[in-house]
Amino acid sequence: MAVNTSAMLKKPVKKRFILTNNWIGYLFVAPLILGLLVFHLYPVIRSFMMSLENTNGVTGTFIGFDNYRWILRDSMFWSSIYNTVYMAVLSLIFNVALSFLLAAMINSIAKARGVFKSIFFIPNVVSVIATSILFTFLFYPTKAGVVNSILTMLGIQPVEWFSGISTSRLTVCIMGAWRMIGYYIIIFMAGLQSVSKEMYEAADVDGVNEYQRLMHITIPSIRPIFAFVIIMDTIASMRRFSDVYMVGGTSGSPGGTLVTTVMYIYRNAFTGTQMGVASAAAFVLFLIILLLSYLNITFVNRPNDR
Amino acid sequence: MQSYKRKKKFRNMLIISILILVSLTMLIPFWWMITTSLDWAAVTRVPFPPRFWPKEFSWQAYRVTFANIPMVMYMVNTLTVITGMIIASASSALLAGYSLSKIRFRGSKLVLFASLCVLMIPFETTMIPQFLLFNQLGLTNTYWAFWLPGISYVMGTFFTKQYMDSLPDALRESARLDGANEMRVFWQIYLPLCGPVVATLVILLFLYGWNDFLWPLLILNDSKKFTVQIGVAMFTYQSGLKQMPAIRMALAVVSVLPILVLYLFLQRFIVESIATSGIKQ
Repeated sequence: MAVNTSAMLKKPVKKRFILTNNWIGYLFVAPLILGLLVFHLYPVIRSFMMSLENTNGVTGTFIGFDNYRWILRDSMFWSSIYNTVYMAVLSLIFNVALSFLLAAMINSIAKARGVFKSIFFIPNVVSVIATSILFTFLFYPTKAGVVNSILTMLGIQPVEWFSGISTSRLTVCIMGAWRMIGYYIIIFMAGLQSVSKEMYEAADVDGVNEYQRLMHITIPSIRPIFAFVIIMDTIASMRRFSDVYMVGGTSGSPGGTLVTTVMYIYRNAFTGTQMGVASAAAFVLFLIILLLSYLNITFVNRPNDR
Repeated sequence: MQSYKRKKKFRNMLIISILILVSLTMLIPFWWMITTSLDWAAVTRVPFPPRFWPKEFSWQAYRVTFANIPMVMYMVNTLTVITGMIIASASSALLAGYSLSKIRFRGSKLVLFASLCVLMIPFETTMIPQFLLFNQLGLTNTYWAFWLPGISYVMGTFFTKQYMDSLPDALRESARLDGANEMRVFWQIYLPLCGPVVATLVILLFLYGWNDFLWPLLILNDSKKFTVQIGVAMFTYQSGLKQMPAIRMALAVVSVLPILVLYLFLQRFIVESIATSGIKQ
């Protein structure tokens, strides 16, 4: 019996050996793994180590959790968190609401869907840098600005936009919405097209109105897409840097309202050479984004598979 | 029934008008950017009242831009960065994706899981140690700082794996049992079938590479090495953000034009890539 089985297995074993050719498999993923180790795993560990040191990046002394204590008492750190979250909430409202409404509209018309999708996406290929330059003129703080002159025509006082302490963050979010809405529209539309037609037909037979259709069929059907967009947008907001760098510089002007968490990290690391403090803040950012990503995975059920 | 149809038609018209209106709003900034760049009257200050047609039509702003800012050099630099990055990232992602999908060696699940974990690490957390690493290696101000990290392209690996999963395993099995080695199976059988995924990777990497800002800001401080974004940002920075509208707009137009042209030609493809990828770096 034993001889018999091994004889029977002989060919399959050889076949399996050829097909699960382990070492070639490892060779093919070697570049990826090398990259993961050198450019992701090692830097995260180093980042944590540096956050426990008083260091300029070259030499350092171990100081335990002092850097964390320092940033938690640093009002600049807290205001950077405040600014970041403030802009995250605003951009959630703009980006998610507008892109969903527009996607639903585009999806409900019979023709020219592709055209609208393509038009709304155009701003997304424009760099943040060029967008910032353009928008500082469109939202110019005096009457000469394009937006302000439209407001003046409507009888509204000119707004300071990027230059006003109370409006600078809002303006950055408006600019962000212009760039990002088209991107989220594409994602929402991919979801909307997967909602079953039968449900809409059944609803039509039952004579439900637009609002009921939206609330009871469309939104529940694409709930995972909503979660995905919300979390992606929040993560993007937590990582906000380039636009505030262009508009407000490293001082986050006006009045430090545009200092985001990443700007705080950048300032400490590269203008102040406080690498330890910067690393502590970077590690806090890591934990926040880790939590958001975890929520993404648990709530969203891999929207890519749609 | 008649009124229902009419109502539906009216609703359709209303939605289309709203969409057209919003589209125009989205496009106005581009129009203002182009007309202002061609308006020599807007060279020193913002035109008042705002206009959407040049008052003194002239290409002068572009001449000034090209005379003062080496945009062509920045573009060549950017293309150099992107080309190397595409080669490193795409080949690593394709090889790894093939291996994870078809060879399924012992531990491939673990590699997938580890990659997924790495996706959650924001670049902003690792940028300081990465910068110090390249600094120690003496590779700041070189493009190696962009090419080397390219080998860990996790998203690309996932796309490739997903795509390869949809190709039959039988191709590999029969080729392997006929004595073809793994590299040949990958190169001659599967890679030619991977056109769509390769195109997606190239598009996503190109968009990313052209517009990337923070990493080049850390790595490049020799102005001869600047990419387009850094060059534009530094010039804007040094000469004051709100000065000289016409020249600023000319600069913005030049920096945006290549990617806009690319988009106009490939828009259906790009939109599709974004929709299938869902995530854009």
